Amino acid sequence: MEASQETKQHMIVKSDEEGSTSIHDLPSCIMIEILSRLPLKTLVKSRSVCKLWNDYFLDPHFPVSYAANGPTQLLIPIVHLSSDTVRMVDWDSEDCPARKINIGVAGKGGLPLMLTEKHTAIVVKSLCNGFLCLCDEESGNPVSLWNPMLCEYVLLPEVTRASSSTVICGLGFADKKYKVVRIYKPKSTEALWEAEITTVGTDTNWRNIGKVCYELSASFFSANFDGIIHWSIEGPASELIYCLDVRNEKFSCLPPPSIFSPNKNREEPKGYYWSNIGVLEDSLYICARSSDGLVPPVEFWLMKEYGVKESWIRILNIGSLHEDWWKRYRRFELIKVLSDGKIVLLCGDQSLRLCDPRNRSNREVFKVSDPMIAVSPSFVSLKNGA
Amino acid sequence: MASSESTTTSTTTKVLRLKSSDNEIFGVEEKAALQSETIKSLAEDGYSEDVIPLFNVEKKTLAKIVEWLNKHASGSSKEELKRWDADFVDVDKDVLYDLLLASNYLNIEVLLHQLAQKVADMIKGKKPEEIRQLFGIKNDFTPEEEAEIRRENAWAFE
Repeated sequence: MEASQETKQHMIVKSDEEGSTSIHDLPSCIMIEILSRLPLKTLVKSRSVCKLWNDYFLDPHFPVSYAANGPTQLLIPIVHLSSDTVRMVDWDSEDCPARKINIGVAGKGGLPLMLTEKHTAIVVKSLCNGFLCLCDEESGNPVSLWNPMLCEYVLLPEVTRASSSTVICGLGFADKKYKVVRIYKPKSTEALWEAEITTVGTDTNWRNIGKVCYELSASFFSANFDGIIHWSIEGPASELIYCLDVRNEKFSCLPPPSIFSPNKNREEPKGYYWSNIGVLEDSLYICARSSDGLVPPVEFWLMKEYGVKESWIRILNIGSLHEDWWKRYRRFELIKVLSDGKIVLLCGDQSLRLCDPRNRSNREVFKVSDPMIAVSPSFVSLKNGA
Repeated sequence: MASSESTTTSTTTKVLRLKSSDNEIFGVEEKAALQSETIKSLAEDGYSEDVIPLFNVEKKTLAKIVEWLNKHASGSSKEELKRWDADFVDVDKDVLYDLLLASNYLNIEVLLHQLAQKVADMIKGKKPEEIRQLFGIKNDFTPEEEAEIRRENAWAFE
């Protein structure tokens, strides 16, 4: 008797479920679309709704989706790093930007003691999907991968080959693996730069992957796009963007926009430099700037179709800005395009601004005194895979 | 109704015929229908002269989708579309889920994003208990596990 009643109850529940679709019927790709649109505060709360939801946050695709759709941005200092100084900005789609909040992410201090004891100063040198590559300030050597959201870090293998010049690093993601690249100048010879790589959580050493025949810019972060790491080349506007395919660990080059290319009039482009490279929505962008003139333009070019030189278009030209920002190595980072078409921009590492590409107007939303980078939150733990 | 109207009046524009999983046929102008990447590739594969079978979409959902496709191909002003879209997604949860599944299957990115945003707006600002109640979700964490997650993200619960 008891058994039949149980069956009956079960049947009722079952038919109820069949009658209408439940939120659990949505595949993970749709759930990630939904959850990646939540403000960070609601988002972290919703992790504890149920196990299935918590799993969505741990999906490697989640931070990528959040970077594109999420309304919250973390601002993290590049130097004087500690999670107490992490800030959070919410972009409300209706009336942005809404708030700025100080958060001590997951407890105090944040930076692992092991790192702060061993190195006099730790700086952020690269980022990808919410992970920061932490480097020794003096040598530039990459030492750790850090997830500020989880306050979690993974140490990178010890460096064995010293460099005679500041090390350049790159961080990339492909096939669910993070790889850190270290480009250094061997002390013994005056030869070319050498590159070595390590797969985070798998490799216990640095593997040499060949020579680099360009002087890469040590000041700007590398940009990871679709499993390829991009660096800008030092000096007057180069005809190349240098790339490393994370999957096969081979170097290649991409053509930058042709507007400043010497091909135009066979002259050296006057005082133009490529600044940082980054990713905006589904495209690679590069920032171009001039080091002379009273009101030199800072322009942003977007590569609409990856790898196609003709597809570069200028999407933003910001006029006169704070003069401090003309220092050559300040970064101008495009963060996101809001639903009303305005672009969020981090200028000179310090000023978060909102630009309207239609009338070139821009206004400051938020300013910090220490250089910052904009980071998208990630809940992915590197330790699970290790 | 929409289907007969469009097939009789449009002599110059091509009309694609979409068939729901429960065999209802909808006529949709090509321009409107091709907003769906899935329909686009089916049409390119030679289905365009024939009926395009959409095995994963029931007629009640396909009717809504067709309505959206037509509106978004009608050349309405941005402001008007915004108002219209807000009304369009203002439906019961189970209708939202069906529309999400259909827009995902039909690969209509703009619609998928609108629907995802709608569900996100429903969740926004709510506590875990409220979210569970809203969607009828059972809490399958042990109290210890739940406390651990809360501890990790203590700042959000302040």
